[in-house]
Amino acid sequence: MSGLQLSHDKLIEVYRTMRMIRRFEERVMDEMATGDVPGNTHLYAGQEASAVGVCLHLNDDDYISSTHRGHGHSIAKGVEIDGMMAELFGRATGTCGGKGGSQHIADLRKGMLGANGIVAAGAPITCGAALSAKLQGTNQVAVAFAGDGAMNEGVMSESFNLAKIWNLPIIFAIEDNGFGEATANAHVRPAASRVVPRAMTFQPSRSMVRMCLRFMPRLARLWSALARVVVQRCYTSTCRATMATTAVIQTTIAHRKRKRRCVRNKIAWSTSASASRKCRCWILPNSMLLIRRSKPKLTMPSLPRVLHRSRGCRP
Amino acid sequence: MAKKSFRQALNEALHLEMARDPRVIMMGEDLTGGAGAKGVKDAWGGAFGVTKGLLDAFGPERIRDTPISEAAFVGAAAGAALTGMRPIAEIMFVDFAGVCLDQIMNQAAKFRFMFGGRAKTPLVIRATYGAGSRSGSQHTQALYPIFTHIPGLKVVIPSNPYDAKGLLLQAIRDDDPVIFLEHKMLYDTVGEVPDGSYTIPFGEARVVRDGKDVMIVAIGRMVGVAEEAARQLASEGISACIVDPRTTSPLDEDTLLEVAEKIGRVVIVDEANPRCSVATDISALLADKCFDALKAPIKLVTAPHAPVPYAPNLEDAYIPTPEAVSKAVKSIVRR
Repeated sequence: MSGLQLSHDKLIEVYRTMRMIRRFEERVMDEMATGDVPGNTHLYAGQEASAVGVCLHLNDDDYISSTHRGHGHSIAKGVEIDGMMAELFGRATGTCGGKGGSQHIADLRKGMLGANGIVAAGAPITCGAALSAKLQGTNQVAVAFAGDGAMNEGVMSESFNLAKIWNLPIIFAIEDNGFGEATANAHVRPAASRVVPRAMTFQPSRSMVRMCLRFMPRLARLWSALARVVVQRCYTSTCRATMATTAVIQTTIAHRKRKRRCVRNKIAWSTSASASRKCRCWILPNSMLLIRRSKPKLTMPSLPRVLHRSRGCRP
Repeated sequence: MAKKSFRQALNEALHLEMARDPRVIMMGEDLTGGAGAKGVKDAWGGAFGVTKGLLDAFGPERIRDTPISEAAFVGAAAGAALTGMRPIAEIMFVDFAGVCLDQIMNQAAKFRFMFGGRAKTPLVIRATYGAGSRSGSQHTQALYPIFTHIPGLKVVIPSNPYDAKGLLLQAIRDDDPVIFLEHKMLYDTVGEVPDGSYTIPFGEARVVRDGKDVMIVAIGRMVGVAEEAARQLASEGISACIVDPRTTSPLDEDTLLEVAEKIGRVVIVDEANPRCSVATDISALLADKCFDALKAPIKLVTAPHAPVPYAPNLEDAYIPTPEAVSKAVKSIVRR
C-alpha cells in the first residue's frame, strides 16, 4: 500500500476513530431499541472509513457539511462525543442544547456546519463556506459530504457548477452505498448514468488547474492525499448498522501489525462478519484537481483486487 | 434633505454598508448585467437598476453575478453567513423563491435555533414582489405571508424611500436571516432621504397619519393606497389613522393594539391573497387581545384568492384600490 503515506501512529489513530464511530452507533442502536433515544436516527456504521479517511486530512478550522446520516462525519471531524450522545437524548448538555437532534448536530468550533435533514442541502452551504474562506484569504478548505441519492437532487449539480465557476476550495465527497432512502440506485437512474461521469462535466480547463495549484496549495495537497487514501482505497461493507466494516485502512493495520495479537483480534472481528454491500466513496473535487491525474481512474476496483494489492506492499 | 427615489435609497444603503464592512458581499442574477459579454460591464445593475455602480466600487469578488441557480447561490449565501461573511442574495422576483425555499426555510431560518443558539446567520435576501407590472402570475406575487409564517426569518416590507434605506441598513447589520421585499411599482417613488447611514429598528410600526375615526393598517405599496383613501375620506369628514407595520416579523403588536384600542374601528389593507395572510393574522391578533375595545367588525381589503392575472384591466381589478378601502371604511364608520 505504497500510496498510503501514513505513519503507524496515525493509522492507529485512524482505526481508533473508526472504532469509536462503530461503537457510538452500536450504542445508539441499543438505546433506540429500548426507546430511550427519541424519534428516529440514521446510523453511519459501515461507512466509517470514508468519513475518517477524508477528515484525517482536515484541520479543526476546515469546514465539512454532513448528511442525515451524519454521526460518523461529526466524530471524524472531532465533535465531542459526550455532547453528541447527550444531543441524541435531547439534553441541554447536547452539542446543540437538545434543540437539533441526530439530524442537526453541528459544531462550528470544529468546522462542522451541520448534519442535514434535507438531502443535498449541505452542498450549496458548503460552497458558501468555501467562498467565505476564499474571500477572507484564509487557508481553509471545505468538504461537502453527500450520498449517491443526493446526486439525483438538482441542487447538487448547481453546486458543482458554482464551485467550479467561482473556483472554490471545496471537495464533494459522495458516499455511494447503492441506495437513496430504501430505493436501489439502479432503479432510479439509467444504467449508463454513473456518479463520476456526471460530475466530470464540471472538470475545469488546464489554465484553471494551474491557477488553482498556485493559489490554493492546501487544496492541492489535500486532494492528492484524498485521491490516494479515499478514492482508491476506501471501502466499507454496508450502510446498515448490523454489518461489519472491511475497510482497507484496517487491512493496512493488519498488515503492519501482523504480529500483534490485540490488533489482529480487532481485524479478525472486522473481517469475520459477511459484507453484503459495498459502500464506495467517490471524491469529486472542486474539480480542477481531477486533472492532476493524467488519466483519472475513478471507477472502483473490486474489493479483492485492492486487498491483493495491499498484500503486495511494504509498510 | 435631498429627494431620492426608492431605488436610489436602496442603492445608497448598499454602497454605504459595503464601504463600511468588508464582510458584506452580494450575489444574484444580473446584479451587474453583461458579465461575460464583450464590451459590456455593469449594463443593468440588476433587473431594476438597484445595484448599479456597485461593481465599479467594490469589484467582481464582492459583487457576484450568478448562474440561474437560486438554490445554489442562496444556499451559498447562507453558508457564507454561517462562516463569517454578511452576504446579500438577490432573488430577482420573490416568486423564484419557489426553487430555493429549502435553503431559506429549512436551512438559513433554522441554523441559530437548531444549532443551540451557537450559530449566527447574518444573511439578507432581497427580492421584488407585487402586482401592477403586467407580468402575469409568476412574477407578481406578494409572498410575504409564507416567510412571515416561518420562525427564524425576519420579514421587512418598506413602503417609502426613507424606510427602505434605514431598514436595509438595519437588515445588513442584523445577525439573523432577513427577507427584504421591495415592491417593484415603488422603485420610482420619491421621498426625502438623508445622505448618511441611519437604521430603523425592526418591529417598530410607523404611524403614517393620525386620525380618530378608523385605523387603517397597510403594508408595503398598500400604504400609498391607504393614504389616497384617507385623503378621499377626509374630504367626507372621516379622519383615518394609518399604521404601517414595516416588518411583519417581528410584528409591532404593541403599536397595533394601542391604536386599535384607542380608535376601535380597524381596516386592514393587504396586497397578498387572503387565506392565512398577514391581514388575517393581524385581524386575529386584534380580535384576540382587544376585542372589548372594538366598536365594529375588523374589515379586510385584500386581493382575491386567485393568481395575479395578466390583462391590465383584470390586474387593476385584482389589486386593492383606494375606492375599495374607502368603501370598507365607510361600512364600519357609518353604521
